[in-house]
Amino acid sequence: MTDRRTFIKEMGAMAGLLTLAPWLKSCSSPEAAYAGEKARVALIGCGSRGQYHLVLLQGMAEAEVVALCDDYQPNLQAASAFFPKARLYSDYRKLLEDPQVDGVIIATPLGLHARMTLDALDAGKHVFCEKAMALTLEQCREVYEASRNTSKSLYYCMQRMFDEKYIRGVQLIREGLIGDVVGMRCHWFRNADWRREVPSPELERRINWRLYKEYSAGLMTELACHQLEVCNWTLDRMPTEIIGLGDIVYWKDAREVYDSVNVTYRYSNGCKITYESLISNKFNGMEDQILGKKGTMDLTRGVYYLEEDHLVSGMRQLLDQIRDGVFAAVPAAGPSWRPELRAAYVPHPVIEGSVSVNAGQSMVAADNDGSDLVLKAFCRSCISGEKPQNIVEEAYCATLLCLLGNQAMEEQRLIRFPEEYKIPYMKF
Amino acid sequence: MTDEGSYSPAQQLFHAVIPKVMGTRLEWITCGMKEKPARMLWERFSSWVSDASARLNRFDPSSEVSRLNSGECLEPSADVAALMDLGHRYKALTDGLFDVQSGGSLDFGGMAKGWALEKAKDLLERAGCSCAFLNFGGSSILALGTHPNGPAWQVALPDPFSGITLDLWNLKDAAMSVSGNVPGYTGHIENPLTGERITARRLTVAVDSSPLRAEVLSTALMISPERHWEQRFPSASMKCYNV
Repeated sequence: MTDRRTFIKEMGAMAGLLTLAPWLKSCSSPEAAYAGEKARVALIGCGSRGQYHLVLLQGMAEAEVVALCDDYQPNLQAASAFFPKARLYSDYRKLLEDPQVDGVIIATPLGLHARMTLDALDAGKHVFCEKAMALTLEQCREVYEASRNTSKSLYYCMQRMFDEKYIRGVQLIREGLIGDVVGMRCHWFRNADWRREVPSPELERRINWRLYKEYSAGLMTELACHQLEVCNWTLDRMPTEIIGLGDIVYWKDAREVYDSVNVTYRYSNGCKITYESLISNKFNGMEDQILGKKGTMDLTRGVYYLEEDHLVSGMRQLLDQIRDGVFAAVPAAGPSWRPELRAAYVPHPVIEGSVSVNAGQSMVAADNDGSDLVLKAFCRSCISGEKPQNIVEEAYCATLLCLLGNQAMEEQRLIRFPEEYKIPYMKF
Repeated sequence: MTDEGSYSPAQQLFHAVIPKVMGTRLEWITCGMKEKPARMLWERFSSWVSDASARLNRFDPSSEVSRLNSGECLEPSADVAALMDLGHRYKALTDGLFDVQSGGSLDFGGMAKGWALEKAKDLLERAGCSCAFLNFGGSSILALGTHPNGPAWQVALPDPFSGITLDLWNLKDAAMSVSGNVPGYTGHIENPLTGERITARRLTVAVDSSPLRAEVLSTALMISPERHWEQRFPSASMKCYNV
C-alpha cells in the first residue's frame, strides 16, 4: 500500500485538491514542520472508541496524552493502562480546568457531545469530537455558532473525509469520470443486537446508550452520518427534502431506537440518496455507491465500474460515422471484453495498490479508514493553532440530515429542509 | 438474445448485436447490401454462431465440449471435429505454444472466435458483400473492404490500464486479434509447455488475412513475445505492447 502520509502530501500538492478537501491542509505540510512539538491532549470518554483513539495516539509523534476522563471506573482504568502517566478525572469539567491540556478528544455518548464540546471550547481547549455533532438540531446550531466564535479548532471524526480511496473517488467523480451523478445508494447492514455486556442492570442505559433516545439518535447518527456526508461532499450540495420509514423489526428488547431505517433524501435537481440500514441481516454489508450516467463509483471499495466499455461506445461511434459520412479511428479493439451483466462489470481501482476495505461489521473501528489522519490533523492544529476548514460545516450538514431523517420517520411525513437551520456553507 | 438488427437505407447500413456469444459481445456491421439479403445473411450467421457457441461452452456442463471433457464417449460434431483438427495443426505450427487442450481439457476460447470469423468471412464473400466490420468483444475483429468514408477501417487500441490510445491499426480485408491482460482479469493465458500463467502487463496484436491465424498468433505472441513469429508467418503483422 502507498504510504498514506506520502499520498496525502502528494494530494495536497496537487492543484485543486485543497478545493475539493480543504481540511487536508495540515496533513499536507511536511513532518518537519511539527518536529519535536507535541499537542497535550486529553481523552474524555474511555470506552471502546476512546481506547481505539488511544492506540492511534500511542504511535503519533505529535501527541502526548496527559489526561483521561470517564465517570465509569472500569473504562478509566483500562484507558490508564495505555498512558499510565496521564492524570485521571471522573468529572470532565475538572479536566477542562487543567491548564496542561491543549485539546480534548470527546468519545462519549452522542447525547453528551454538545454540552462537552461547548464547555471545552469555553475553557479554551481545542476539541476533537466523535461524530455525530449533537443529539438535537438546536444543539447542532449552538455548536456551529460556538465554532465560529472561537479561535480554537473543532474537529469531528468524519474519517471518510481523510480516507484516500474516498478522496480519490470523489475527485474522479468531480472530474466527470462517471458522468452526471444521477443517484446515490448507501447502506449499512449488520446482524447483531448492537449491545454491550452489562455487568449490573442499573448500568444498562449507560453502557447500551446507543439504544436509548436520551443519549442516541440510533442508526442514523451512528452509521448513516458518515455516508450522508460523503453524498453531500460528492455533490457539493444539500438535499432539500427527506422522507422515510423506521421500525423496530427484530430486536424488540425494550430499545427505543429503530433497528431498521429506510430514508430517501432528495436534492433540488431530483437526484436522491437511498439510504438503508438494518441490523438483523448483514448480507449486503456496507456500501457507498455514487451512480453516474456513465458509471458507478463504489467509494467503499475504491473501485468504479463503467456503464459502457470502450468497445460499445467505439462501435457506436463507428455507426455514427458511417451515417454521418465521417471517417476516423474508433476505439474498438482490446483484450476480450466481457458482457454487461452486473456480475461481469469490470472493477477499475481508483488508486494503485491494495486498498483497505471496511466491511462495516465492527462496532469500534476499521483499519486505515482515515481515523488516524483526522486525529493527526487535530494534534497538528493544537500545535499550530490553525483551525481546520469545513470540518465543522460538513459535520453540521451530515448530522442535520441524520436528525431530519429521524424526524421524517417519526412523524411519517415529508420534511423540507428547515430554513432556520440553513447556514451559508450549504448549497441546495 | 439475438436481435433482428437495424437497417439504414440511406447508407445501406445494417447493424446487429448479440450481447453474449462465445463469452463476449458480437457486433456485426455490413454496408452496401440491400436490406433483405443483409438481414438474411445475419440471420444465417447469428443462428449458426449461437448454436456453435452453445456447443463449445465449457461453462455449461451439458455442452458438447463439457461432455467431451468429462470423458464421455461421444462422436464429436463436424464443427467440433474441425476445430480439433485445426487446433492440432496450429499446435504443431507454434511448437506447442498454442494448444486448445492445455491442461488436458478442450478450451477453444479465442480460437472459436477466429474460427467463427472465418465462417462469417466465407458467408459474406459468397453473398457478394465487400464492406463489413465484425467485432467479437474487441479481441477478434474482421474488417472486409474499407470504411465507407475512408481508405481502411481504422481501429484504435486503448491501453486497458490507462485508457490512453496505444496505437492505430488500419485494416483492409484483414482480421485483427488482440490478446492480453486487463485490470481485474489477468493471468488467463497459460504457457501450455510450462503451465506458467502469463501475468505481464502486456498486449499483443496480430493482423492477418485469416481470422483464425490472427487469433493463434496473438496468443502465441503473448506467451512468447521474443520469438520471431513473422518469419514463420510472413502474411501476418504482429506487435507486442508492454503497458
